[in-house]
Amino acid sequence: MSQLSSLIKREISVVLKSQSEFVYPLAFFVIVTSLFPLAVTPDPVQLAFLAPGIIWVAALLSILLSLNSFYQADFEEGGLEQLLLAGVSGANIVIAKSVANWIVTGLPLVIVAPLIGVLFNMDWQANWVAMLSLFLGTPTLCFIGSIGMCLTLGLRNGGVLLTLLVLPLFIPVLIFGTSAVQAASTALNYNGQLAILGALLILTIMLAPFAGSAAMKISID
Amino acid sequence: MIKESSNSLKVENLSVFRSELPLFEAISFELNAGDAIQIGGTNGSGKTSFLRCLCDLSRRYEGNIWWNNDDISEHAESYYAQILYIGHSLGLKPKLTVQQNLSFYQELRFDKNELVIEKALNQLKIGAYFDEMVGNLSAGQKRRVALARILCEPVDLWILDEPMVALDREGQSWLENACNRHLDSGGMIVLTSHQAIEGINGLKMLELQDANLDIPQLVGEN
Repeated sequence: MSQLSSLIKREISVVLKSQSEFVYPLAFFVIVTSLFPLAVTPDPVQLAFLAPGIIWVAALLSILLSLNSFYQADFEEGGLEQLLLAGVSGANIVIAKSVANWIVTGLPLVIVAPLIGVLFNMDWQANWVAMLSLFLGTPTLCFIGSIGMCLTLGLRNGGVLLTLLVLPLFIPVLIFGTSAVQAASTALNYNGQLAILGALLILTIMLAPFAGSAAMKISID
Repeated sequence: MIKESSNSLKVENLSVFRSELPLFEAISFELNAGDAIQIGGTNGSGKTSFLRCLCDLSRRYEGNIWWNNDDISEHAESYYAQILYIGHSLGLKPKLTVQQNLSFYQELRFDKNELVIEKALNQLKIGAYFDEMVGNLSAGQKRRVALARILCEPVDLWILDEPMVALDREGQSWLENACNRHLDSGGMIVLTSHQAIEGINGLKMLELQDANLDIPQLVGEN
C-alpha cells in the first residue's frame, strides 16, 4: 500500500513538473466546450439540450489526450523496466498511473464541469448529475486508457492505434454518462445510469490492472 | 572481508532469438560469490538482448537461467530483490532532481537513507548536483547518477550494460574500484563492453559468437 502511494506521488509530481502536459487536457476541455455556443447556437433551450453530449465527448477526448504523458516518456527513459526490476508488480504500476492520471486530469474536469454547465444554461439538478457522472465515469476511462497505452508502448504512430483500440471501450461509459445527464435535465430518474457507471468503474478497476500488466510485459519484451 | 554468501547464477545453453533467428551460439557459464564476467561481442551481437533475458525482461530465449538453483522467471520476486540492472536507458526522470530520482529507487527496496545517497554522489564527484534536475546534467553526469545506485542499493548481482560509456578516465577507474570492492564482499557482476576492461580483478571474458555465419547473406546477391 505504501509502495502504491509513493508510486502515485511520484507520477503526480513528475506530471506537475511539466505544466503543459497537465494543463493541456483541461484547457482543451474548456476551449472545446465553450466554442460550441459560439459555433452552433446561442439559444439557451437548445444549448441545454446539447450540453450533456458536448460535455461528455469533450471530457472523453481530453482523457484520451492525457494518457500519453503517463506512459510514453517512462517507457522510453527506461523507468518502467526499472520499476518492474525493483519488484513492483505490473498491476501496481497500472493502478498508480491510472489513479495519478485521474487526479491530475479527471478530477479537474469534474470540478470545472459545473462552470461549463452554467455556460450551457443547464439547471442545477442536471449540473449536479453531470458532476456525479463524470466523477464515476472518468476513472473508468483512465483505467481503460491504461490498457490501450500499455499495448501501444514503443510503437510508431501508437497514438492512432490507441484511439482505435480504446474508443470502442469508451462508448458504453459515454452512453450512460450522457443519458444520466439527459435524464436529469428532463427531471427523469437517473439512478439507473449512475449505477451502471459505478458498476463499469468497479469492473475496470478489477480487470484493467491485470490486462495492462500483461500488455506492458509484452511491450517491454 | 568476505561476506558469507552462497549465491550462484547459472546460465545453461542459452540462446537469444530475434525474429526466429538465434543471435549467438548457445552460451553457458556459472557465477559464484565474488565472480565477475564480461560479455563481449561486436555491435548487434546480442549483448543487450542477453542482459535483458538475464533480467527476465525479455523471454525470447531458449535455455535456462538459474539463480540459487531456482529458475529466475518462476522465482522472479526473490531474484529481483537481489539484482540491479543499469541499461542504456538509465531510468532517470529528467524533471526530478538527482536526489529525488535516487531516493525513489532506494525506497522501493530499502529504507530511505539520504546520507548514503549524498556519500555516493560525493564519491562520484557530483555531490554539487544533489538538488539539480537530472535533465540539466550532461550525458556523463547522468550516467554517474545512475551508477550511484550501485552504492545506494546494496544488492548481490550487478548487471551493467556498457557501464563505461560516456564516463571519463576518472569515472572509469572509480567504477573499476567499486566493482572490485563489490566482488571482495561476495557480490557478482555481469557486464557488457566491447572494450577491454583491465581494472577489475578476476574478470572472466565471454565473447558472443554470431550464430548465423553459415547462413548465406541475402544482401548483395543478385
